[in-house]
Amino acid sequence: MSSIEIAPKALSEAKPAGRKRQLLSRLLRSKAATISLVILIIVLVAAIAAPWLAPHDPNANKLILRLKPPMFHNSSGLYILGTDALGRDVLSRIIYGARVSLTVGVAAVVISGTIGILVGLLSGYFGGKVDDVFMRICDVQLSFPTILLALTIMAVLGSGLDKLILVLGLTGWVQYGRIVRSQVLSLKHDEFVLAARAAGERQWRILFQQILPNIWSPVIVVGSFTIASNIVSEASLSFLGVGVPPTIPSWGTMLSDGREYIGVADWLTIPAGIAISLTVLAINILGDWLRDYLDPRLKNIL
Amino acid sequence: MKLTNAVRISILALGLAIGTLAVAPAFADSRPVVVLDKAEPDGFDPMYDSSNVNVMLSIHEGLFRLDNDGNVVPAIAESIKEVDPLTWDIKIRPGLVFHNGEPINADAVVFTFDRATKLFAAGQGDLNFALGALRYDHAEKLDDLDVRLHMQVPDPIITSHMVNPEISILPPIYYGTHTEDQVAFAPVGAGGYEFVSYKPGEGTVLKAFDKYRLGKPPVENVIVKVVPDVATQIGEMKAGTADLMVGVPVDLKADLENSGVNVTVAPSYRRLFINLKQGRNPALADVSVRQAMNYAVNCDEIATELFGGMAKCSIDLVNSPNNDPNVKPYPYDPEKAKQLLDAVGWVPGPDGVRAKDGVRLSFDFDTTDGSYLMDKEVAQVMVDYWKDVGIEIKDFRTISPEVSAQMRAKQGAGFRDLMNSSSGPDYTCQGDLLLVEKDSGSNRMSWSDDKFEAMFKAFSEEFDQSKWPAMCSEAQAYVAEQAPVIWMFTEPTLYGTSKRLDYQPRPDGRFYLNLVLKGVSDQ
Repeated sequence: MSSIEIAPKALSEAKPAGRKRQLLSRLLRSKAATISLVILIIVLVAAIAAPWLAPHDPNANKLILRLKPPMFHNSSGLYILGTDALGRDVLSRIIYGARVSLTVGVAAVVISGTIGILVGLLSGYFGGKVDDVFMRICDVQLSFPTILLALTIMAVLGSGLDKLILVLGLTGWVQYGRIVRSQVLSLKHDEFVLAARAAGERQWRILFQQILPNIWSPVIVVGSFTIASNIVSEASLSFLGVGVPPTIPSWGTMLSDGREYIGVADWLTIPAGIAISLTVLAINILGDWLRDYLDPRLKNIL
Repeated sequence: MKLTNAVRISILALGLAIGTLAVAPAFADSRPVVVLDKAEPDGFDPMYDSSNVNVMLSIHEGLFRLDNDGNVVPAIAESIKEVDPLTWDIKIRPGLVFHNGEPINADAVVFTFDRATKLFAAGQGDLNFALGALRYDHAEKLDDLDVRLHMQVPDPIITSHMVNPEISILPPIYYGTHTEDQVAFAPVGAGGYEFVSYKPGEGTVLKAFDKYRLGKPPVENVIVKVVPDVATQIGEMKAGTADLMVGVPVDLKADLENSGVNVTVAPSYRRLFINLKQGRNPALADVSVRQAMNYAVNCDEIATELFGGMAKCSIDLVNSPNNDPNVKPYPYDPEKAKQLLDAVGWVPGPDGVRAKDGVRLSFDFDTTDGSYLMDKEVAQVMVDYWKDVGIEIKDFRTISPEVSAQMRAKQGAGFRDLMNSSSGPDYTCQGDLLLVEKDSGSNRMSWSDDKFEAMFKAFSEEFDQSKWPAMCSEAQAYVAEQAPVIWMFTEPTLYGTSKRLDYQPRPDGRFYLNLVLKGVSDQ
């Protein structure tokens, strides 16, 4: 018996190199998306190269230098954004804070995405009782506001970067699950899936090699928005004192620590606020653009 | 002379205006005084919840209490007489009543002491501290206004041990006819203020008790509002929606004053320290490690830079005037700290953290956030000091004032290796030493030392007052050297008050509302 090669539906007919060029040229046509990309690259570089970029140790308390205004300089150097209530350099903490924000944003998305995709695939493909059970679990989780659920769990577990990532990851999988399920439902009766079945492909191969490559577009779009919402959640939970410990520089912690001083030292909160807003805005604009880019109906408009 | 209508109307209008002006101050005075607090109460039963001590002290009254200068004065008791070292006769003031009109008599006192004994024996309530200090056996009614208290041990400072709010006198008929929940959230006491209502988020509403033994308090209506966040408290004070805030951050004093709020810096006897939980981490059982941790901390820098010089570093075990000035605080000496650690085998590893037999010199640190002035900031600075000598803080956790109060009430249960804590004034050396006594509810570091226990026992049973100063000094010197805690400082207390409030701060920082609120004026 001769074997039959089943070619999965291609995301795009173009070759990878051509696709990249096409992506870039379309991106550059949108000013908002281009500016957002530049902002994100800056944040990413700050996060990766923090030890080289930060002018001071972000955790070095120098009580004698506390609450110095922006552009303060002395023998130990220049403090472009001033110092906080413990004499730590605000700029260095902003730069290191990018690490926390991006780490939490991306790592939580990886966890929630993995769980959500698995649940969605199984639920949509097998249907029946499997679908019922997974969807009821989704309903239960959706009935709790994510941030409230995360707040409760963090209050019990205590603060910590690893715990925060885990909590945001475990509470954010539902939207992936539902979107993937709906995509699987629409694909599982397509010819290429039926052909694979007829060819005797194993079910896990059909799921992961035939169906999964064809549902990445919506998953990537949801992922981009979830990174932004995770950054906000991290900042919110750290602001409330249950996110990352105060010894780790994070934008949310900086906002929280600085709020007492807003009347006398606004440089403690404004840079952190701007960093959060710009990063989240940039991710959202890029996510929006990506959604339009991946939508075949808008392909010729972009 | 005939007046025209226009003149009549003008005179009437003028009269009304003058009348309105005349009654205006009375209207302003009738606004409740809003006092800001940081933690929601768990209830108002004094035997169950000592965390909201300020409200408790205003609703309830004990046999004795502390006046604004820290002197123990009779309250419900009129007098106390020693029959023998284990027996005391207490006379109750005649004619006193609880808020519900129930008489305050020997039955009420006996009921209170019996209830405390039963709850303590059953492991219920929040009585570790109070009954750890006042070690009575039972109370016996002699007649309507006379009670005999039988002690387990001789207690030369028995009246000091009766000021704790946990053993406030309770109305037996009310308690006998209501459930525990009812008495907790509709409390009836004998203090200067009657309980009116409590709603989470809105606060506790109190009303001056007109049959209070010292007369009706000068401020009629008070609301104790819980605002956990200091920044929000500052906002309330600036907006004029609150009258009293305790714990104004030093850095914000000028800002608040510029906004028209009075800020008073009052002397405080509240002593801050870091507990070292020796039962949890074996490294802390070594006196050399504890001493090294003390030498590594630059307390003077914290006092100067974080508190503007208002905090005073000391071996803050015993308050003035009983503290011995010859017992000096540990100087900042990181080299000495390193030598001590080297000598007991804790040597620096490749990353600078010391280790011994494969175990790192590493601790978990719990700090309160908002319970004391700049507590979280002080704790973060300490982490740096210890890092400099090779001691690692592996996990740093912040705890809300509510949770930390619950943990402290259970002798620090739930706290990990290091935890910041404080102790209020006891005004007696024996009382202050309870901080480190083995069985005391104040001892949250599981420190137990036979030599100190023997010293404390002898001291606490000594009736000859001429021997007290020497015994007090000897105990202080010994405990200072043993370093069961990281000695820190007495914290300054900064009160923010509205212009209309006449407020007298106390060195113990407590609001006996009938004593500290002197009145309100028109503003």
